Amino acid sequence: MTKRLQPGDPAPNVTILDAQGQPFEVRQLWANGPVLLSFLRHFG
Amino acid sequence: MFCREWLAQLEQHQDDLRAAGLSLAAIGIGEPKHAQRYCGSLAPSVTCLVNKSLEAYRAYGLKQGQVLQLVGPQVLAAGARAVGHGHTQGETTGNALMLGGVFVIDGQGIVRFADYDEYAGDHPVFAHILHAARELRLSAA
Repeated sequence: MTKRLQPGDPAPNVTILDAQGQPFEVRQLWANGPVLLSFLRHFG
Repeated sequence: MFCREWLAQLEQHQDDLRAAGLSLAAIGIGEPKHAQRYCGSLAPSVTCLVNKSLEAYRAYGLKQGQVLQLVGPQVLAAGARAVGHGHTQGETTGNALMLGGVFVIDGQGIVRFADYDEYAGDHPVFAHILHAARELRLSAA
């Protein structure tokens, strides 16, 4: 069961791929400051 | 079309978002080549990433929509809005059943704003995102 995140929760770090196909840890996104992270439904 | 609409809105508001201290990133479902082609042209200021296995989607509490969340009256209205703004549907890759979400995460990795699509085409209000970012800046000052 997936649980919705709430303000104050730690953001999960998962390893995905960048646009070049290289592994990318999501935590890199906030390593240098706040980030607005959007999850798209799909590419289309 | 809703993802195109959202990316276009990010581009449109990027100055305000960056002024509020936010960098911009988006995760989509598909292959890296899709991110290059799709985001590269639509949202060059957004760091685009891909997650085909949906692991990240599940970790962030995102789910597939039910029928009414995908083709219900609110979706049809949102579709008319998107088309009215010139955002048409392209070739779909990934999982069109998935609903999206938007998060503001601070520099310590804590979620400061979370918005889950209640239906396809349900985007958060930018003023709410900017408010969360400004609160974050105030608390860090």
